[in-house]
Amino acid sequence: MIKAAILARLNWLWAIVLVVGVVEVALQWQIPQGEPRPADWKKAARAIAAEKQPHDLVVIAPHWAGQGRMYLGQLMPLRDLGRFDTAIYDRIFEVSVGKARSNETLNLVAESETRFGNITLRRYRLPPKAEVVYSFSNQMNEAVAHGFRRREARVMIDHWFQPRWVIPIPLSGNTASLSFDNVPLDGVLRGYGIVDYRHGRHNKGGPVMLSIYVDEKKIGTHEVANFGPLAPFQFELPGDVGRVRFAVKAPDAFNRQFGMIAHVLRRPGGDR
Amino acid sequence: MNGPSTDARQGIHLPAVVVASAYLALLLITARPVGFSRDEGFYFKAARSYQGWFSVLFDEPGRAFRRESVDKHWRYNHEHPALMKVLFGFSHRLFHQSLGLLSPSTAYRLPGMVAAAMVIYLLFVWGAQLYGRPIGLFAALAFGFLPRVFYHAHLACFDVAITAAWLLVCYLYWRSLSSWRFGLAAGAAFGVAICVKLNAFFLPFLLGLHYLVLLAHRRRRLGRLAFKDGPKPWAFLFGLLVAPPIFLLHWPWLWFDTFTRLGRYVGFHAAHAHYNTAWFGENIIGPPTPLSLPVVMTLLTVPSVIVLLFVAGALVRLRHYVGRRLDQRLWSFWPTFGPPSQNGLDLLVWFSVIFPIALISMPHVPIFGGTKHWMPAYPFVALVAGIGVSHLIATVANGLPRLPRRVVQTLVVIALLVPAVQQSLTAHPHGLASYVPLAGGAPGAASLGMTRQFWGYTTAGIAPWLNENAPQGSTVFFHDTSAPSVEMFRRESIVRPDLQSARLRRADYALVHHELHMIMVEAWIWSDFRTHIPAHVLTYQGVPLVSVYRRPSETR
Repeated sequence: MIKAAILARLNWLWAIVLVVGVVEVALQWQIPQGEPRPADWKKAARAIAAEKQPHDLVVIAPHWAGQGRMYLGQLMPLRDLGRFDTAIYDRIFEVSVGKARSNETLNLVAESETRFGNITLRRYRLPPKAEVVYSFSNQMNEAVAHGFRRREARVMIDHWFQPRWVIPIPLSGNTASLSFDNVPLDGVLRGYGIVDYRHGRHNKGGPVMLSIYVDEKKIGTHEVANFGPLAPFQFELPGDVGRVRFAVKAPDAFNRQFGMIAHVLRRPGGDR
Repeated sequence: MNGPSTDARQGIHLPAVVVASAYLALLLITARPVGFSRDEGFYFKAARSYQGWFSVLFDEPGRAFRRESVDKHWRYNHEHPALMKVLFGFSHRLFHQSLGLLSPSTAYRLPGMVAAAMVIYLLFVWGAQLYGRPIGLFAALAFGFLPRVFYHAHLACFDVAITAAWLLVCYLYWRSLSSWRFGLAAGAAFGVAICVKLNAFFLPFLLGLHYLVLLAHRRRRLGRLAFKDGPKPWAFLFGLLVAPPIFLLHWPWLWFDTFTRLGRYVGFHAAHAHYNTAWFGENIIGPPTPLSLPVVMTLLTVPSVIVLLFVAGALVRLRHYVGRRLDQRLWSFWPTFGPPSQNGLDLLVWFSVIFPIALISMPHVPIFGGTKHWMPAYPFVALVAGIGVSHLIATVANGLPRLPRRVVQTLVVIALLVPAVQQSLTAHPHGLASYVPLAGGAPGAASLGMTRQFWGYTTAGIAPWLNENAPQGSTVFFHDTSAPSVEMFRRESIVRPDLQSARLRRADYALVHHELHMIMVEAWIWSDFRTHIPAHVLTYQGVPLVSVYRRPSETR
């Protein structure tokens, strides 16, 4: 049986309300205190600029802190911003607000860590990178397009709201193809395909089929479905030099944009 | 007895008017930094168009009633009833054009603010009548300082107005259960409510359900309906008689092709477009609405103290029904408060909390991501939270017997309002970005992938930078800010009048309002401007709301 005195004391459980109130007020005051000042960003940018090498990647955590690009934008070119993975980088400089971490560094151990006000700069070394023998997005001037107007690589948003640096290929119901001559074929061909979020969000039509030919011999196909998992395609190349053609077809998907990126890699780094 | 005693009524209305007036004054003082939302722009334009008809009416009454005049002036924005837009227009005519007391936008917004003050007044009065003035005061201010409500209360929109009308109809309906006069008032108020916004058409379902439950309970208790002494259906009878004529009379658009236009009005909302809603990192654009969306969004945006007090208040009232069946000793630490429910008041309050939230939770109701769509539930949430406060006052007073009870009341009410007031004022004028600190505030919500804003109103926040940095005659892509809202920004010199609105391709500056479903706009800017480095970013608690890009000279 519960004693009346104990029950009477339970009345003070109501104090929880006041405690929650105090915590709420304190947190509401504290949250903006964690906001980085411009000077913090600038110091981090200077520190990275002093150390950064061509195959280093700069990331901001959390992903939504886009104001950081005002200070770090010169150190993070668009193609880095639109990366699919970290296979072609040596190191990552992670500029994080508070305790935020980037998904790409979660399994890595920081080599160094420096604080600049409310910003923490960490440096990570990645496993040995893949060597890019040929980057198709860099050779768009040499490419021959059939069934669409050739355009330079740019950023497109995928279904996961990530910016992706891709070669844009509009889908019209017919096959669109893009050919590159004199491609070194020593290694593997690795890449990704996405459907532009804006056109694919209603989930109508698809999937998009990407077929890859070397000297007009098909070496593989890759299917890209709306809201399907993001997965790279990777095919062994026969060696030597030749012509690579990407053929994109989506018979029932009109007025949509497909984007693809591909490299010939000598030592693929896998999905890291 | 039904309704409050004469004693309880004494000395309530004057303080209620004072508090409501103070709230209105606060809204007026704080209106300027609140940017013009997308919908406001459309309503400004509609208000102007409708005033055009009134000008014709005043000048040539005969011509005003001709079909061509009605069609010309009332066609614009005919997917919503006209009442609020008419009031916006008259307020603009009186307080800006005639008296010059208010800026054009504030004059348009005034009726919405008055509606917010009405909720404050009604909540104060109803809460005080039922449970005493401290509870009325707490309920009124707790509602007024819900951060999202505080934001919406500034706008020339319908959401706070329908909340006021909804609350008024519920109050009058409850009083009408034993008074035909209140029944007449309830019928008329319902007529006004359906002139404010479509939501009001659902009120008869809520109140009808309540009435049926009351009758069923009575029959079970007495073995018969005993209709003569029981709750009276005056509100329904007068609602049927009075409301339709009010609705038809207030809206000249319906005076011609009445049934066709009524059909289109209902059809528009029955097949309403789904709004994009960011929901834990996904963008919801079609049915089904996640069942938990309104509840989760309420928990994430209503100050946690008020949620806790709401739960406490609900349990306190629930004890009237559950507690008496249990061992009294178990409940001794949890006493009840207030008299037993009269005419099913508790049930009405519960229905009023649950109904708007349940309605929007239905899987095939078009997605309405904003908390404003279930705002009519919030006054009742505040009222129940007030009951929680009452018990806390009693506990503190018992624990501190030397302090006069009035001092305890004042201190407890103020202490419990501080979180809501602080959150409202610190979030101002970015109310839609406000999330409770226990969820991590705006940064926490951004990490969770929740909606950061909508309506493009945050343009006001970047205007000072734009005015200072953009050369004379620059062109600006204003992204989600609607053309009429941009026009108002320029008219009031919030944005420099020489800055021209332009499409992205022709713009010298481009804004991107950070909303998940419009993330591609930023990628378009990167491609077109050939830069991904913003020139300026407006943040709230460190979370970007608007980024501004400057076109590099080489891409012109």
